Amino acid sequence: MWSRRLLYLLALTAALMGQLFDVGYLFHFLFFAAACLPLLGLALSLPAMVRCRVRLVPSARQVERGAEAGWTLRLECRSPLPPARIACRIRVRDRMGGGERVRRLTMGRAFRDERSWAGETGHCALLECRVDRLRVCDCLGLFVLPLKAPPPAQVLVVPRPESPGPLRLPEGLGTPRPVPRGKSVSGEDYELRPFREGDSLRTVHWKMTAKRDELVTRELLEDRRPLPVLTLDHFGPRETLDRALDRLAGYARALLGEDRPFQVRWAHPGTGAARCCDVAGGQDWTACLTALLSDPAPLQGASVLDRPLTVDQDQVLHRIHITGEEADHET
Amino acid sequence: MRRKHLDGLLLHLGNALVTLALLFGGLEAFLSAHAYGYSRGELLAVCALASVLAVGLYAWRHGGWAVLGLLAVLTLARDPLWEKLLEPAADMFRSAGTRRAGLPLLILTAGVLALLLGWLVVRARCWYLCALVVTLPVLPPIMEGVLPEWTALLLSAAGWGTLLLTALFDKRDPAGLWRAQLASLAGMGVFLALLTAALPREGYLRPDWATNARDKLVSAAAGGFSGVLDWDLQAGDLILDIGQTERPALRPVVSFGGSAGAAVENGRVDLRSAGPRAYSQRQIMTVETDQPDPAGTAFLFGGSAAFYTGESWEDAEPYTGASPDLLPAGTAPDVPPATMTISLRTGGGNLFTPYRLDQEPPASVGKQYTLSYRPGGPEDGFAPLEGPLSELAADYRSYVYANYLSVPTGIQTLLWPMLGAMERMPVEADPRLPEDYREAVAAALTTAHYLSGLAEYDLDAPAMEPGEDFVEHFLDARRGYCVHFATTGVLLLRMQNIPARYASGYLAHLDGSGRAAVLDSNAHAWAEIYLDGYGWYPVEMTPGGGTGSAAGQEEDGAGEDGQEAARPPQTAQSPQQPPQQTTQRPEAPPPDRSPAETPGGSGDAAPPRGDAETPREPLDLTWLWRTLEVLALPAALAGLYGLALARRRRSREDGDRNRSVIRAYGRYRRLTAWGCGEDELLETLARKARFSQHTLTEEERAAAWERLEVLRRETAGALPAWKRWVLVLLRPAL
Repeated sequence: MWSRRLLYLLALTAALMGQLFDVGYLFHFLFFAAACLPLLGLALSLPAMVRCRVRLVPSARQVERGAEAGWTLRLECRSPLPPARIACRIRVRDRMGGGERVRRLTMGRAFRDERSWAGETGHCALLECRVDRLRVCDCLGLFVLPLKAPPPAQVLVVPRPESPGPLRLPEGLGTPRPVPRGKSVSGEDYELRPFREGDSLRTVHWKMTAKRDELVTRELLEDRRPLPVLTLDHFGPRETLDRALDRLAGYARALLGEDRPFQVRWAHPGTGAARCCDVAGGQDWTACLTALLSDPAPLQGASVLDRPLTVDQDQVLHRIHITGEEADHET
Repeated sequence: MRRKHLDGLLLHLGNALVTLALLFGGLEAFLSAHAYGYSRGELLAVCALASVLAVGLYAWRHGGWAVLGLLAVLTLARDPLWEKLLEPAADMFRSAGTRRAGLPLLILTAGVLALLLGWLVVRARCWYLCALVVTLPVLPPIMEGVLPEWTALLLSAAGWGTLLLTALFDKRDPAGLWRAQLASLAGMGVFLALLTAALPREGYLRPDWATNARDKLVSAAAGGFSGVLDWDLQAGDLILDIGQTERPALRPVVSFGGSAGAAVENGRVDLRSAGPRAYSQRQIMTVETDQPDPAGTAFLFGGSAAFYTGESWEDAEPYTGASPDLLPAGTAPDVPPATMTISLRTGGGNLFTPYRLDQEPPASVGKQYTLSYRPGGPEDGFAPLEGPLSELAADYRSYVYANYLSVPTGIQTLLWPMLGAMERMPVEADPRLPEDYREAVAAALTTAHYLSGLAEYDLDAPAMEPGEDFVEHFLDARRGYCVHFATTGVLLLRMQNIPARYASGYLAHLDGSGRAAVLDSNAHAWAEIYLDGYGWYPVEMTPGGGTGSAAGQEEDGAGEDGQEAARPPQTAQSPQQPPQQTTQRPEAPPPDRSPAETPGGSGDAAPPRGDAETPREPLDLTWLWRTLEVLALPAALAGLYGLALARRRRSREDGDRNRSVIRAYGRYRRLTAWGCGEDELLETLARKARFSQHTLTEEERAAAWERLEVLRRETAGALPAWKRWVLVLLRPAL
C-alpha cells in the first residue's frame, strides 16, 4: 500500500506541476481529477470497509503431537461490494517453547474469503494464534481502516501416549493401606495413640489408659489406596520433555481407565513454585495439560524433586517421577 | 450453478462496457485530434461490435490462443491484405488530401485495438497499459496545443479509471468483480461529469494561485542559483532573471509568452515559431503616469527590426548618431512633459518606453525606472524641428531610407495586386495632422483597413512550414495575429514607398488614475512609419488592436475596422530630397495597370475567405508507423512470454492443489530432458496428489514448486552458457 501511496503522490505532483506551468484547461482538469479521485475510491469502498467481519477458527482444539493442526481466518462481508484488500499480521506463539512465528497475510477482494495456515506440532505445546494490525484498505489502496481483531485461538498439542495400550501401573500403587479415618468414633480397625487435645472422650481406650496411666485414644483406620502423584521436571530439551509427556499421557490413560484420580505436579522452572493439578476425568486431564503446556520449558530450571511433597494428614501418596529416560522413580 | 452463470454473464457485460468506453473514447479522441472526418454513429456501432466480439473471445478459455492464431493467420496473409486493404488505408493517413476515416478503415482499426484492449481488460486487467494505449496516440496533438474531443477523452478516462478502481479486486470472484466494475464505471461517469460541470472550459484562465505559486517556485529556484549564472531565460511562461539586478538597457524584441512563444535573439524575431498562442495572464510590469487625461491605451516600445528575410526579421546596423527617439518630442515644445514609471515584475534590464521620449533613453535600468515624455501626437500640436534636432533629422533620414524600404523580390509579386485593391478603399487621416503627413498616415490606415478585411484575427493560427515564406503563409491561411498583420503591413507600406519598420512591445491600458497592469497577453507588434521632420510614428495593423484577448476591445480610438487612432502627422516631402531608392524597393505600378498584367498576381486581392474553414495541415505520423513496425516483433515475443508466465502463475496458484502439484511434476519431467536428476520429493508429492485420497496441503504445494525452482536453477548452473540462456527463455514452460 505504501507503493500505491507513493505512486499516487508522484501522479498528484506531476498534475500539480502541469497546473502550475501549463496554461491549458487539460492540466487544470487533470489536477482536480487526481486530487478528488481518492474520494471516489473511498466512497465506493466505505460500505464494505465498515461491514467486514473476521473470525479466527482453529482446525481443532486439541491434536496429538505430529498431527496436522492449524487455523483459518474467515472473512465475511455483507455489503453490495466486496472489500478491496484486508491485511493483517498473524502471530503463532508456542507458550511452552517460547518461540513465535509472525507472518503477514492479505485477503479479501471477495465477499467471503479464508486463509489457512498450519502450526508446528512437532512438539507438545500450547500454540496460541493471535491476529493483530487487522486493516482493510479502500479500492485504490490509499486509505486504511482498522478492524476489530478476533480473539486469539489456541490449539493444544497433546502428547502421544507411549504405548498403544495402558501402561502397567506399579504394583504398590494398587495396594490399599490403612490410614486414619478422621473423627469417626466407631470401627473395627484401630490403632492406639496418646490423647490429643480435641479428641472425643468416646474414643478414649479406658483399659489401656488405666494400664499406662495416661489417656490413650483409639484411632480408627480405613484402607485407602494411595493417590498417584505424577511429577515431572518442566525443563530440558524438547525431545526429552516430549518423551516425558508421552509417558505421563500413558500413565494418565491407564489411571483414568481404572477411574483412579491422580495428581500431576511440577515446579515452575523459573520461580520454582509448585504447580499441582488434580485429575479425575478427561476434562480435568485436558485442563491439566493446558496448564502444564502453558508454562515455559527452558533447558535448565528448578526440579520438582527439590521441594518436599506436601501431603494432607490422612493422605497416602504414591509418587511417580516421570522423566524422559527409561526408568521412572517411584516413592 | 445458475447464480454462477449469471455472475459470469454480468462480469462479461461489465468488461464489454469498459472495453467499449476505452475503444470508442480512444478512437474518437485520435480522429478528432488529428482532424480526420468520421461518422460518430458508424464509429459507435463498429466499436460496440468489436468490443463485444473481443470480450466474448477472451471470455472463452482458449481465447488467448485463438487470438494468437488469428494474428498468425493475418501475418501469413499480410501481402494480399496489404494490397487490398492496408495500403489504401496507409495512403489515406499519409496523404494530405482525403481526411475521412471510412468504414473499412474504422473496422480494421477498431478490430485490432479491440483485441488488444480486450486482452488488457479481460485477462490482464492492467489499467496503466490501457491508459497508455488510448493516450499515447493523442499525445502529439496535445503537445502542439490541440485538444481532442472532450467527451471522447472523458470516456476513455472512465474506462481506465474503472480498471484502476477495480485493480485490487479478485478476478477469480466474478460475483464481487462485476459489482465492483459496474459500480466503478457508474461512479467514474458521475465523477467526471460533476468535475466537468464544476470546472467550465469556456473562458478558462489559469487561476491566480497557480500563477503566484509558479512564480514563487521559479523565484526560489532562481534564487538558489543567483550569482552563479548571469542568464535571462525566456521560455514560454517561465521567465527567470538570474544574476545582476541592473544591467545595460536592452531593447529586446519581445518574446510572446505562452506555451509556444517565438524565440528571442538579440535584435531578431524568429517568425518560424509564430504558431498558436496561449497566455497565462501573468503580470509583466506595472505602469504609472501623471499625464493629464491618461485613460486609454499607450504603446510601450520594446524594439524594432529592419530587414525581412521570409522567416525572420533582422536588425539593421545601428545608427551611430544621437538618439532619434528624441525627434518626435522635439516637435511638441509646448506640450507639458509627463513622467511614466515602469516597474518590471520579472526581468530587470529590459527597456520599454512610451513614444515621444523627452530624454535620452537610459543606459541601464533595473526593475523600476522613470521616463519623461510628451503625451499625444503631431495632431495635438506640431512645431518644426530646429537646431541640432533638425540636423539630426536630416542625417537620420538618410539612414532610414537606406534601411527601411527594402522588400524581398519574391514577396513583391505577391503583394503587388493588393496595392491596386487598396487604392479603391482609401481611408481619411485625422484632419488635425499636419498636411505633409496626412498622405502617409492615410496610406497606413488604408493598409490596416485592407488587412482587416483580408484576414481574421486568430491566436490559433498555425506556424509556417519550414522553407515557406511567412507572409505567403499568412496570406494563404488568411488568419493570424499581430505578428502576421504587422509584418505584412510593414511590407505593404514599403511597397508604397513609405519607410516602415516592424515594432514590438506592450500595450498599456491606462485607467483614469494613470495606472496599468501590463500582462503577458498585452504583448503586441505593430508597424511604424517614418515621417520626415517628425520621426517614427506608430500605426496599428491588427484588427481591433488584438493583443491576445478578443479583438476589438481597445478602449480608445479603435474603429469598427480596427483603425487605431494613430494621430497622423503631416510629413514634409521635400522635392529637393527625393527618397533614396534601393535596388530592392518595389517600383510603383502605373495606375492603369490591368490586373491581368501583374506578374504572378491575381488582380484584385482575393476576398477574404471568411466562411471557409482552413483545414489544419495533417500531422506527420511516419514516426509513429516506423516505431510501431520496429516494436511489433519484440512486442509479440514479449506478449507470448507474458502469456506463458501468466499460465505458469495460474498453475501455481490453482485452487486445486493436487492439480497444481501434478503440473509442477509435469514441468519437472520436462526439466529432466535438460539433465535434471531424479527428485524424490517431487515424485512422492506427485504420487500422493495423483493416487491418494488426500488433498495436499498448502505447504506441500509450496514445497513442490520451490523444489522445482531449485532444480531448475541447479540444472541451469550445470549447463554451458548458451544452453543456460535458452533455458532462461524457456523458463515459462519449465
